[in-house]
Amino acid sequence: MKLLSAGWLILGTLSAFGAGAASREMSEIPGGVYRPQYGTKDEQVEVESFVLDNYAVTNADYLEFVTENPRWRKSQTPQIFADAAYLKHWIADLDPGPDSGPEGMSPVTNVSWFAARAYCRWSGSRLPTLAEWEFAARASESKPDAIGDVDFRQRILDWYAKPAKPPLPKVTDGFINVYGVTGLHGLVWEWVSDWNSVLLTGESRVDAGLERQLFCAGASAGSADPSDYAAFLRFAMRASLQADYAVGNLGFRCAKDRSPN
Amino acid sequence: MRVSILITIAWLFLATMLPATHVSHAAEVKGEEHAVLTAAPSVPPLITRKHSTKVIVELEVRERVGTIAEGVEYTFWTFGGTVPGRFIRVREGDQVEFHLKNHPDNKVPHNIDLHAVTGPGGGATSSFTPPGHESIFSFAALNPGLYVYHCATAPVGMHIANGMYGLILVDSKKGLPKVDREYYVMQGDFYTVGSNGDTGLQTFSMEKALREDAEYVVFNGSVGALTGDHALQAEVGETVRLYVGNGGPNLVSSFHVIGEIFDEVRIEAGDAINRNVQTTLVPAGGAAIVDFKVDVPGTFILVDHSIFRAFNKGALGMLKVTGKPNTAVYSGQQDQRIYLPEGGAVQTTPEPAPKPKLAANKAERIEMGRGAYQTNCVACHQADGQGIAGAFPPLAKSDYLNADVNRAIDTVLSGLQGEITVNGEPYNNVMPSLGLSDEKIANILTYVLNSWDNDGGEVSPAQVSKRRKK
Amino acid sequence: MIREACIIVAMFSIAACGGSSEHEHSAHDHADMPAAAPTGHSIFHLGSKWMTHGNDEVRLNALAGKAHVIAMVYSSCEVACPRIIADMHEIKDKASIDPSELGFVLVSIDPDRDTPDHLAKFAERTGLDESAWTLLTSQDDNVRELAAVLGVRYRRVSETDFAHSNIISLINTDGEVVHQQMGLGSASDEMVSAIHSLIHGA
Repeated sequence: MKLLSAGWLILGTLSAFGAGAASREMSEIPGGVYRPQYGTKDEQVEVESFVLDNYAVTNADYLEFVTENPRWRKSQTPQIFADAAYLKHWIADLDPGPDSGPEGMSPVTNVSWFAARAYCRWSGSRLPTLAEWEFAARASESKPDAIGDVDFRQRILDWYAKPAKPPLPKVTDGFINVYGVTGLHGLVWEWVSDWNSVLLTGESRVDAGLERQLFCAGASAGSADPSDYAAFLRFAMRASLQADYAVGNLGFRCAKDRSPN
Repeated sequence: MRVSILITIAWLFLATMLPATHVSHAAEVKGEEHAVLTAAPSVPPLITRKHSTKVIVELEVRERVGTIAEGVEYTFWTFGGTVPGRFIRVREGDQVEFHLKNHPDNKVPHNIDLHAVTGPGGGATSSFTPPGHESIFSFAALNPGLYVYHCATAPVGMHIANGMYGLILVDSKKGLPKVDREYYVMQGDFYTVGSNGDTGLQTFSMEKALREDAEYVVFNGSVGALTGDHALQAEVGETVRLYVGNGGPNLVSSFHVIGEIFDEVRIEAGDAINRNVQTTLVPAGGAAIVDFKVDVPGTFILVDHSIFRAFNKGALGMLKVTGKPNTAVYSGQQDQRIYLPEGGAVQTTPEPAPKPKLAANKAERIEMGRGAYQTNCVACHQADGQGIAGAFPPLAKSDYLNADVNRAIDTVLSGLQGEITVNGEPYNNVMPSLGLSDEKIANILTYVLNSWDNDGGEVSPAQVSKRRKK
Repeated sequence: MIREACIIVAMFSIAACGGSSEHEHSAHDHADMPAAAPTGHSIFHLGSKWMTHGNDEVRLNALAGKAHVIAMVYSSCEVACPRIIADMHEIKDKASIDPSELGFVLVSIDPDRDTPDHLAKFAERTGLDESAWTLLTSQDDNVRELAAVLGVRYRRVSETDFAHSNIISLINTDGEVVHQQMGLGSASDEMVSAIHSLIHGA
């Protein structure tokens, strides 16, 4: 099931940290159906098979990207694509510094959606969709859908109880799920392509209001599983973002459609 | 640029939402000032100005590890670094410009719903902020009163359960009657994966929160936040006002001060005044203002009179009043009327789940005993072991205690009633059986024996077990 | 319901494929931008290609040199979008600015259905004056990107409908968002005065 992305293999070796080969593996996520966190009780989301990075994109990976693409260096990026916090933990345009973790192997954070998207395109891939990400994140070490397991949920929630200061752990830390993907939980939040499909400002005069209940009445009416608090936290996080926001605990990984064969 | 848009939205929102009469208030607003924010139990200074002004409030959300009970840590989500959040004080008619900052090291987005705000979401819709960002919105303080504020980001229950609540006081134009002391007391219930007393960093248990099965119910964010050296202070003859809030998330408080009667209660912190009140309800997400004059010295115990919460889960605080006794009000010689609901009968409490760790040596036993003492004994015998004169005998340098260790074990095992003499003073009261494990009793007694000039020694669980079988 | 979900998935798959061929190495995409570099906050940084209801292919910098009022809607929308358009009409009437100085733009969030032809018919049916109004459609991925810039959130909720933010944005001649009106039926006074100060100066 594990595939190596061709896009990764042809990349240059500009990284100051040498080749971070671990971060270039991808795994296939066989498609399936799941009930989304909110919506009607019988709503189902079907996810087609796709391929997902095994690890979040690291600072070392990102350094290669900005080295090749000066436009995405922190001093060069137009404000509309990234706010003032963009790569703020880096010392300079091409110097990730100590907060990027040993050999730059911490997940890159403080990156906007535009930046994450540009990176994935450059590497011959794309951001995963929200549905794809949520589908893959239901998996524990042993089974594809562990969301019903109290222990699994509690483990995810426990991450929120442990404040994380830079440098963040290495992307290879954490459990490997049944697909071979590491760090979907317990490392950083991750951008998805359609993060702004979550309408949660709760202001009915602004929104069509379909998901208001998630915002204020809070985590009960209309949601598929009101006790899946971890999912609520993820959706709230997405709802709070704008595309140019760079946040200290928010990184990303890339995905691809399954190759034709 | 985004900030300026936000402000515009907020103003737009005001313009469209407020009735014309209220908009006219805005015209009277003169000057501007930064709000003084205080951590509990302090209250910001009285507002003396007689006009409305623009008040700028800057509140920072921090997610940080703190102590919820002796040896027990918890990751609190806070408005201003403390639980409860900073006390905000404004005046009726003020225009409040609110800055909500979400610290960059935080993990999750937050917002604020102030019950003092007239408008959808109470400000929540205008203040939804991811880590490393700041939101600004404005509102008019239309209605005087004491209001709860809290985070309303999904999952709302979890944000509140982690400590995201506080109080905002909107002083009426006339102002409340002047008092000598003002304090900020706010109750909250907490849901930890570990049982009450389990040490180390505890995480939030959504299972218990859903069942409303709190491990801790506390005033001002932790067990002991208002006891011992942290007790509230007053002097005989002074008037005391408590701004009492309840953040919940689940439990309603039956707020009571043992040994005092509230002269005036502003019920639910509204305009209605009730007089001569013993216990007042403070709903989750609500508040009350209680005023009383302290006539005699002593330690007055603040409790949630759902009493297991007070004596077993932490909802207990103290007001220490110093000054001359007034025997006309209280003789000090008669039977105590301290509240012990079950009278002389022996009570048992369910044995908590076995502690994961047992004391390996005397030093550990003393240390663990210190924690257990804080949870089980301190309410009556006090942190310094001095007890309360006339009511609860001292353990410090106690002849009664040191004379007979087995008698001490029996007392903790089975409780005690009837008159005894300790250090020359008679005591006639009731001590319940606390239903503690052999290990815990051994730890507590070893701690007590090795504290406050007592004779030392060690009590083992085996010794306790032997006495239990007798 | 499953069918609807399939549409969503398909939508993003297409977007991903289509988008990447056009935007691969997007960092170098903008070399062919017009001589004057866009300002930091300009939406003209987006290199995406769009089709107008007149079937012209344009980039967003085609909006340069004139202020525009922009909203994101879809033509089969029966509730919110007609009200957004009504709000825009109100702004247009109150502002009373010549179309040579102020344009009105509707961007479709439903490109599957809203082909240029479809949008042309919609403009005709709803009486949108050709000199003032421009209707745009593109690929999903480009739509999502523009929505991100304008702070518009949307999600397909059924085969025919979307949940979406109701936001009307004013952009200046440089493509910078200078004012936003949120919510349906909001008072348009602020927007109108923002337009006036933009075009006539404060």
